[in-house]
Amino acid sequence: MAAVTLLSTTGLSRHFGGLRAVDNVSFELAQGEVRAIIGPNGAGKSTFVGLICGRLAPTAGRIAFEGRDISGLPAHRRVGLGIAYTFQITSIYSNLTVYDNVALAAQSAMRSGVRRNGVRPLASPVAPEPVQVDARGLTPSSARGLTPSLERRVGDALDRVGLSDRREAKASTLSYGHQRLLEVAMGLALAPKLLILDEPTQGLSDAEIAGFCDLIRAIAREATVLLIEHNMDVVMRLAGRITVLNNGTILSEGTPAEIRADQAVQRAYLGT
Amino acid sequence: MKRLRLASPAQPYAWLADRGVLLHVGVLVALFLAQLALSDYAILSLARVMVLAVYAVGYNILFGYAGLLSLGHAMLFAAGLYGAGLSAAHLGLGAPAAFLAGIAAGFVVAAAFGLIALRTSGVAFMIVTLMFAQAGYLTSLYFADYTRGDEGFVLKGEIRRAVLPGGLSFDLANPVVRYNLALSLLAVCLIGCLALVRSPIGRVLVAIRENEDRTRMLGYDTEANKLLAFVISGTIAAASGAAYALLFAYVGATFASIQYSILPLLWVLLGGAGTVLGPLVGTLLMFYLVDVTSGHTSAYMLVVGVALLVLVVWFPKGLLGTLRERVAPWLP
Repeated sequence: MAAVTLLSTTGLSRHFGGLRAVDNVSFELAQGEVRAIIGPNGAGKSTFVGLICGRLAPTAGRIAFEGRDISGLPAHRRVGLGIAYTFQITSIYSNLTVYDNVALAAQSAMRSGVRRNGVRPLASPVAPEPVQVDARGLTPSSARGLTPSLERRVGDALDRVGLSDRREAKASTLSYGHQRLLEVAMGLALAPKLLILDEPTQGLSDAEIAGFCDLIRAIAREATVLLIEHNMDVVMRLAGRITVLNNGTILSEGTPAEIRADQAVQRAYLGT
Repeated sequence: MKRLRLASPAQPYAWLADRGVLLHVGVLVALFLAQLALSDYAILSLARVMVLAVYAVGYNILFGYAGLLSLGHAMLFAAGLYGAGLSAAHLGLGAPAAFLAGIAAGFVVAAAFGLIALRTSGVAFMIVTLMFAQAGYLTSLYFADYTRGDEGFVLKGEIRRAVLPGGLSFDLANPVVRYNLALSLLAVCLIGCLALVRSPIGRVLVAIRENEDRTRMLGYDTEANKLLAFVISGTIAAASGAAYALLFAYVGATFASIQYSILPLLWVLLGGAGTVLGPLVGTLLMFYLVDVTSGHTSAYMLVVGVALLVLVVWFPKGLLGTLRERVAPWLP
């Protein structure tokens, strides 16, 4: 793969007191990849992606996204650059409708799209602040110029995860599997360059997992996917490459076949 | 169910949203017409309620929408009250200029206060705002040479006449003038609040209230948005304080005390936190509850307390909040 590096970390570390949760990790992710991060419990996977998306500050090391050093950027700015993160523990707006959940993501993307590219998003009018999206509903004629683009983004995201028929439902009334899909829809509505999924299939049924894998494959055509996953079936089916973390360091990295054959990985998982 | 009213999903329903605007305009028109039918006493008290409702509207933006419970808003109300009152009494500003001075004072205090207090959250935020407001209250007592402390001071003479740059002048001691000025301020704040909560910023504030961490990870600068909510809220509270000083001609330290931090919280809870009209409804209800019961019994606070308990049991989200949940989900 003569790929462009999308994300790289150099000597990235995060210590909690004496615990080296992530220790001197240098990592590269190519554009368009589906990369899985696996490792035993406590290996530092969630801490590692927490550092990447800015939820945690590193103790040492650098993070570069599209060649730009983002180590010092707050999380919301990194989202604006195109790094989307879905939480390990489902985090949605329970009291809002499915539609509103996704629309909040779309509104953010449209605003940062302007900042990111210096151009207005599609179908936005000449208003100085392109996110003045209708919402009022009360002035449909003047707002119509804007509405379709937010509306379309939300509709697209919901279509892709298959929640279109639930758009008016309150998010808390969705089943657990649907709530996870809603989180992915929110991630999609952000139109990210890098989508980080933290244990997305945890708690899903086998049928739901199969659907989820199809969805991730579809997403991977447009975005780079970084996946933390415990379910080895899912990992083997989806990932182009796998990075194995253990005790905060990279134990091994390679294609699924290579990882499957790796003695060190087997030892880490099964104990010596 | 809470509805953010992000781009109404189907345009045919747009008229539903219109209903929200119509309701607010209708309430304001009703308040305007009320002065034709009401007694002098009712006009006086309703003017007072409307000015205080502006305070509640400001409080609601921070508490009801952004989900931040401040126990120190008396400081911001008092910033407006003293900003207007002191500049009128000691600097000789006319009423319109003094009003603007009060708002400016509130803006500055809110920005400084917010920058510090918002470094905390949850219970710590409540405590920090409470302590700041106590410090503000003690400051107003300390400078008793100017503020006359608890006793306060009365605005007299020229300041009772507001002269606008165009030469237009109002007699602030005239109850009808006072009523309509209070109504105008309320109208501006209510419509402004409605526009704010339906704007992208308003939606982000609700998102912060509902799930701050998620909101940050959707790419919103939650800290900046909270500060914005704090400053808008504080400036409206100060506008209310400034109007109170100029319309009712009295400025005293009571208005900076803890009581005036708790009152807007009660009004908003009563009327419905996170509803645009809730603060007005709550202020109105509380005022007349006290007004009517105190005419019959000296134990009127007991009646008020029981009424509040009943509301908590039957209308846990306040009158309008519960109404919205059960019958009128379109209510903004």
